[in-house]
Amino acid sequence: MDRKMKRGWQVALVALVATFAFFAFESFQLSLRDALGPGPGFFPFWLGMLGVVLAAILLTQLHLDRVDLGTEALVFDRAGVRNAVLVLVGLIVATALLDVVGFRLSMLLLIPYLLVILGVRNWVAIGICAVAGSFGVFHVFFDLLKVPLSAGIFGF
Amino acid sequence: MEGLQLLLSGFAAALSLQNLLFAFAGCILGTLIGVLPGLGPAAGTAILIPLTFHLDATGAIIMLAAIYYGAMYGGTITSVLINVPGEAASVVTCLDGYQMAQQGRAGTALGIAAIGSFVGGVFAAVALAIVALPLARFALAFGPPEFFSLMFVGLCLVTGLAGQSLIAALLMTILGLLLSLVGIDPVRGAPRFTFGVPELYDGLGFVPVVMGLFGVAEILLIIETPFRRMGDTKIKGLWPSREEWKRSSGAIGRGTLIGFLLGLIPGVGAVIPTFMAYIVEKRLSKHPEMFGKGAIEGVASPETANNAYANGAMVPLLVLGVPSSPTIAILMGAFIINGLKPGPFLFKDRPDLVWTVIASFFTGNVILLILNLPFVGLWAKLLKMPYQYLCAGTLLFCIVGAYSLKGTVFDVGVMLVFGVIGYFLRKLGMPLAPAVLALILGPFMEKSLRTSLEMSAGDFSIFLTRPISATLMACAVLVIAVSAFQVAALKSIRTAETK
Amino acid sequence: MKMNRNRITLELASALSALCMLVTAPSTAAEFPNKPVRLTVAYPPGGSTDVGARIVAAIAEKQLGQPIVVVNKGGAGGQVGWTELSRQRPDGYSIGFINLPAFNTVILDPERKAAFKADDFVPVINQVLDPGIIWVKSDSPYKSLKDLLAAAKRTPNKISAGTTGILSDDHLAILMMEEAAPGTVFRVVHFEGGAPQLTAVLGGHLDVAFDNVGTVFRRIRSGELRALAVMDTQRSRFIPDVPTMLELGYPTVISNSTRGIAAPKGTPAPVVKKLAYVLKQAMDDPEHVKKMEEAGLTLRIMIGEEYAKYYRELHAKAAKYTEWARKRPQK
Repeated sequence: MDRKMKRGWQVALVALVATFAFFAFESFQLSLRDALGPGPGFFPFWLGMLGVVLAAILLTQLHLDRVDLGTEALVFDRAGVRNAVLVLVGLIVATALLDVVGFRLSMLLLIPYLLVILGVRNWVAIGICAVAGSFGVFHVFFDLLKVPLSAGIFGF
Repeated sequence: MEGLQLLLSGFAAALSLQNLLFAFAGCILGTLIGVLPGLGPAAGTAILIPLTFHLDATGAIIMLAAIYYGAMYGGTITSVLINVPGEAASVVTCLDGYQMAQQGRAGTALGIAAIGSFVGGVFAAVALAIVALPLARFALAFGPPEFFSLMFVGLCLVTGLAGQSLIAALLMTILGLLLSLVGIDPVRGAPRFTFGVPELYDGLGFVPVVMGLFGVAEILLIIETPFRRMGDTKIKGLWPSREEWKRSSGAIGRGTLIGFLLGLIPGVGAVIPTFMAYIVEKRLSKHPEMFGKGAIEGVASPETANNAYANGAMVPLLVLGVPSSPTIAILMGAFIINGLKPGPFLFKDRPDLVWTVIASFFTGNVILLILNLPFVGLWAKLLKMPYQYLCAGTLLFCIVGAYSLKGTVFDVGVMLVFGVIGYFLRKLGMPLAPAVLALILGPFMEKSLRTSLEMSAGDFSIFLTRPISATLMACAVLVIAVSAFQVAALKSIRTAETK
Repeated sequence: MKMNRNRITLELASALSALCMLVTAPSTAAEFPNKPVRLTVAYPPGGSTDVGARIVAAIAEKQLGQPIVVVNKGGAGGQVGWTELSRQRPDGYSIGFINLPAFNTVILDPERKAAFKADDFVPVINQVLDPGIIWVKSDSPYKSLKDLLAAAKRTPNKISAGTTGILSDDHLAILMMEEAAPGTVFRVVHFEGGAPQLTAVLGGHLDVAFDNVGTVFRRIRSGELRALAVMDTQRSRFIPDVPTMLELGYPTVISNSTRGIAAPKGTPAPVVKKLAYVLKQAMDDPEHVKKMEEAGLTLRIMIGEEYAKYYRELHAKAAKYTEWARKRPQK
């Protein structure tokens, strides 16, 4: 099996171990038993412990090459990753701004950003999409469907 | 025979031009709502209730039921085209439906979904018409212990979703269960794993998590991997092959049964029948490895179960007045406003209204099929858009969807976080379905367990002393035994091959 | 429009609002309102609180002169919505429904870690008072409250009594009943809402249900369910044949769920008065009365000092039973 894939799984499994251990630890703070049986911490604690054990087993199996992960290779395309990260950053910023400047303005900024990053250079199309996606969508939802979308602190 | 007579007169009323028009309008509106993000049948139905004030009672109810079906199908459209479940119950359709679309077979997927939905809905409507009352009595026998055992069986079936590594599937299941436990616990009412964030008190929210794991993750994958963008844009015909028809027919049959039976049990909710049907189909298939890669039964099965469930759930609604899901609760509210008061006396007091409504379940399903099949090709063409616009559009779609659930940015944030997580899981080939199933089952199981223990004053044997629950537990043991056997058999075959 | 504070822009928002407040004069009762008022319902749409809220909002906004926008912020049995309400600006443009005693128990139960206290709110006006009720299946062996209590005393912790939520008014009512009839012990089973409780009783999994009149009066009228007692001082207009706790000799077992409107602490008194006035007019309106009647919701309008007193007294009462609930061996 592909070496990178194996490495990837190992990283993921370590992350899982950390997550499960965290859940188990936190649930220890809650009571494990109560008058009637399992308390609020009971299931998360044992589930977390079970998860740690299973992940450890799988890690060992991987280490000893006892697991067949198939023939798929783990490839990360450099440019692709860069674009994906940029898109993600844009999404995060837009989300943070949603309640501040309102849906319309955030989307007006986000949509051209996304399209440009993905390589679109047709400025007319970008403009149309930006307006349709921000103001258009807002009014369809707000006026027609009565579903409120954020209007931001400036009420806009 | 009186029932048949009533049904026929119900048909006569349902087939009146006016009522047909209402059903038609309802189907269109419903499909549109289903396609639009975040709205889902619940909110969409709620929004459209005022519209129906101007109509007479029968017409209003017919229209609302049509909206409900339409919305379910609309949710399927987005699942297949962009891997974003339009509503919770469409999640399972993403697994194979989207893959089919990637292979240029979006039209086929949507087509079989429409046909499966039709068959499931019609057969369930027939069953509803014939056996509503006695079945309701049976369904009532499901108390909290039976519920728990049923969910437990469901969880054991998750082993059927394992791909290459059973342990990986189990790990995903555990992850899903742990995540589902975030929020106020059913035992003490204390917040659990919420770190003082009030938005987490109700848990992470199934829809934002799933929109992230499926929709956003897919977009990130498309952006990152060049060859994915060139998804097969050539549309490979709209009709399934003969062999696929054969496979689908079995899936449709089983999906109808599973969906309808689970719909009878009050409180089950729409997602669980779709998962159960899918898993059963996978287990019975001669090529289980095809599931998740575009197997047509993987679409036919949950879609059929979905519609069969919708009609099955009408039994507890009409006969007992108990809604099984939030959407059905809203439907019930609409029924009451329009003079249809669900409950055991409904069939006695207003047989004309009830049977007209039941007849309209038939007509609604027919109309939906007629409406949607022609458009299937059109929807498929939508995918030929340059991928950049599709990505931006989908992301916009997801943001609006996540935000409009509760009107908070928090859900959008959750969606993005799980988008990233989903991206990595997909890259590594880890199975998502077990996590999603666990996410749904987790809270149900814990609550049922707790309530059962309250009923028995802490005695665990309640699960084994009650007949239905004991039977289900035995099934669970059977499932685990069969899985263990299969795993061992597979291992010995593999070691035999390598020797 | 939406006034949610965003943590990231908190400083910016405060700076801006400080600036605005310097520049503009605060709104007085005479000017109020000059933009839409936001009415929060701490439960998902379609529930009876939501129904009542929308009915009154539609009528009141005509007299108020500005739209009253009903916003649902459900979650955690109301806790999410009330937390948000407590954080709103006390300028009269954000008000919300509070459901007593659910509201009180959320505050009083330390496990819930509520971010607000009782005096973080100013009660404006009460709309509905839904009396508690004890009911059983129509073919149940318990034909009267006396039968039920005798059985619960004879076989303590065997008769299962259901609630619609942990520390709900139903839960507290069970404790009140046990207190008033010493020796009776019920096995308390919690459900999430009326529907699961109903199916449990109909399916024979639960012996008796503690609930509210508004949820079940139709089924009692139709004979599907049998009501044993109404936990109020007067008989319910909807089911007049059912005796009250007072008549049956248990005057302390008075339990109900009230729905009223409150504003965040610090809302100016003149604004509160104006809101109370406008809302009362709306609630007295015959159309409002008729619609609430159809929905099975009993009106009990309280404003001003009467509501404030009720608010305080109920909190004290809830404190007592919440404490008991937490200490009870089988909760």
